[in-house]
Amino acid sequence: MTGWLAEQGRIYFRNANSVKDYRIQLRSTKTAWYWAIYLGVLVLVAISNYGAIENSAWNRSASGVQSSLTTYYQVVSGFIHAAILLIAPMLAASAIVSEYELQSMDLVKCSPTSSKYFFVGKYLAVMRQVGLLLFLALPIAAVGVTLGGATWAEIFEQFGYMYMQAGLATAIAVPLAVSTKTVIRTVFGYFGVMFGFSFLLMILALLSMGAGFTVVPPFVGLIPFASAFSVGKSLPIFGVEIPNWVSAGMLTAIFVKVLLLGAGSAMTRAGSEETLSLRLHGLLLVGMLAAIIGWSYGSLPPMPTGQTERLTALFVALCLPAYLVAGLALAVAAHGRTEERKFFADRLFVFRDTWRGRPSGAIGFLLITTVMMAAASILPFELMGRIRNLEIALSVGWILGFVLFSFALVWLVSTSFDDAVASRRAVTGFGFLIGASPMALGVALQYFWNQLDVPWGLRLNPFIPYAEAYEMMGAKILVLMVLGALLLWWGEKRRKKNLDMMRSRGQKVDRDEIVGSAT
Amino acid sequence: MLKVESLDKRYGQFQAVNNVSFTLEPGQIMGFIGSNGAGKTTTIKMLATLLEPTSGRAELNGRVIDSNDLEVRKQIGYMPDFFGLYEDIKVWEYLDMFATLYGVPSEDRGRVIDEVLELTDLGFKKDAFAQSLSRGMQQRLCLARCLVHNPSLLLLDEPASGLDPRARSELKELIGELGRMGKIVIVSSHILPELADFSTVVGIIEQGNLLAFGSVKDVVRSMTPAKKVQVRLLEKGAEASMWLHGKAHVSGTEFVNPNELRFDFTGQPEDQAELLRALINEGFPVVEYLDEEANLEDLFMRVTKGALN
Repeated sequence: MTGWLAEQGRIYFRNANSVKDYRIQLRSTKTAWYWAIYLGVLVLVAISNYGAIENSAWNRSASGVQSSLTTYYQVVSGFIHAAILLIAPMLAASAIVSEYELQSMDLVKCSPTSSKYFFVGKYLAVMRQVGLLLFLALPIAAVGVTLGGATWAEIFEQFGYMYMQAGLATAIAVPLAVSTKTVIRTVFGYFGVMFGFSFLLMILALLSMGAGFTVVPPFVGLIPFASAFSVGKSLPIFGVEIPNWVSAGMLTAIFVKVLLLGAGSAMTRAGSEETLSLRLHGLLLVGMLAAIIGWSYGSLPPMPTGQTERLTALFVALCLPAYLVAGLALAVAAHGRTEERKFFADRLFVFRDTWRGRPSGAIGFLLITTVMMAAASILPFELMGRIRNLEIALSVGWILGFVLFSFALVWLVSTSFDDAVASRRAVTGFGFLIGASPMALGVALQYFWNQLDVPWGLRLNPFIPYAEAYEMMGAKILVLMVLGALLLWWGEKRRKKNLDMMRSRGQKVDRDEIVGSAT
Repeated sequence: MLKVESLDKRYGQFQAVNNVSFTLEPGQIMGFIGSNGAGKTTTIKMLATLLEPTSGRAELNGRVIDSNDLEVRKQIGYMPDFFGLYEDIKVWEYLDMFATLYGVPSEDRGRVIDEVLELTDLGFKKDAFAQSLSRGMQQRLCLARCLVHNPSLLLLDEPASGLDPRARSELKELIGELGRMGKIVIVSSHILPELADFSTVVGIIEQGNLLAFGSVKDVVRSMTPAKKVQVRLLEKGAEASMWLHGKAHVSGTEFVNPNELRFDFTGQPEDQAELLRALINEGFPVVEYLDEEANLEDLFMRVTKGALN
């Protein structure tokens, strides 16, 4: 325990990478310019906004002016928000990309420190800068309190959400910078990921907030520019009101950890501590997200009693986490015809590889994650006595079918490429399928809520958990299972053929021939 | 002790390193020789835990060199063929950062930094910015970085490239000193005469295969079946050439000048002494009779086929 504490102190408080980066950031001329521009524009935005309110105040009512002062606070917050969400990933990207450009990455990589130490160091240096930027912006935002546009509690909670979002933005930029190795690509990639992330959270929020936004799930505070909706809100879990900023903070911590571990896992070999930790934390994150969605949805007014309505409501709560797990298949099951054991599928399934980051551990990890996610989603419904056993079985069945199909498709496509990155790129088309399904579900729900006939194309689509009868759900599960099994059979046939071809070339493909396989 | 056993690295169908094995004792300095793309850097990177071998293993002081074992990394100092210096960072800050990374206790760090700066003759530049140093100084700073944690194995990839003769000479002395300190040093270089000066052993690698390994003398001897022998006479150069033609172990006789001959000799030292005795008995006035010892450069040119890329 003492050793563990000492190690945590070394990573989080005496991190040499963090100290070095912070020194460099403070000495850099570029940083001085960024700071000057940031503060200059912030003051200009504040003055011009306040000037506009002052000029229009003489012919308006007191309540009108009061409302404008609230707007002042929102405009200033919005500006800080935008600046932070741009500056944080850029700082993170430059800190990591510069290690590649200066060719110092190898020196750090061969030092006796984990990649966790490296990335946490980078992350902390950026977050220290972001903290300073927010601190400097506080007096300008606090003018809103003096003028009556906001309270101190609102400002602090809002700034807290901004810091969390900056933390997420930084953590998103880290693995992107590791894989792209250029600042520009990282920033563009970041915009794409941030858009996707916000879009997904927005759909999750809209589906679980209910009519008139009666419930605000904590992750709404993590959606860029939407955190104001979450200020002052809480979620009842087991009858206890948990403030949203507490849950959002926990979610952020796990999200950040998963993203940094992802970057660490990408830099280490199969079986590393980072990979093991990544998988465990990934599991925890998916579980937490699913539980929050379950509790949010479960907190809505009682579920309708009709079979169609019950099914629709239930599957709305369950399908999006399922799409998340299916997306995970892209990351863990993609492989190639290579001897790098991290991306080499010598077998379909080996139980002990589940936590080691090898393709043969993918199916095990996906199934465990699916079960965890399904359990976390369903538990709140079960505790509230709002779900029937048959519905639980159908929910789990559909999710398993969907995950099996996703895995089998990735497995099959991977047999045509030499490395996992190429395979992943090729399967990206599958990403569109994952992305498109929630939208198709949304369309189906719109028809349903507006009491229109749902088109047959949407009713029959097995990738959409929309059903008007238990039998229809059963049929969809069957279709997914059969399709998944067929794809898997085909993928296995091709994978074995590839192995024979590699053996005939004299390449080492058997587990015992490759060093470190047993570790 | 460093023990390398059947190290293999393969990228798809390309074999970068093939079944490389050798052993080094503390204090031994190994000159690692090979053309561009021969597999030197790949081997060094595998020993530095930066690359994972496809098969085979290496052990340092009984511990397997594995990228997942952070403890073994504490015993290794790696200096690549580039500097990897940061901008806007001072010499002592740079060393302090790596001393921290390598777990040097904070109370010892100041002393260790002063010691390595003294060893590399950079003490007077302690507060200078690393990027402002000359190339030779930057090279020495990188070496100082490798030494902050007192490693038992030093991997130096092309440490002398781009250095002027004075800086090269200083570096040579420094590497020799490290060997005397009991460290195992592996140095890859293209400047072969200098490598031969301080290396206790050499390894020649070509197309991923370790063609030769051992002391410079043994390697040259084992890889050079025929040595050059040179004879200088007062007169009768042409007759001596005819007399030598067809003698046992002698081939390729050529004139250096009319009374000076050079020929390839494949016999043992006893045979060489017998040949000299016979020459004198035949009445040839021998002034000089000496071995022209093959050097590392000749050997390298002979056994390697040149760049692969």
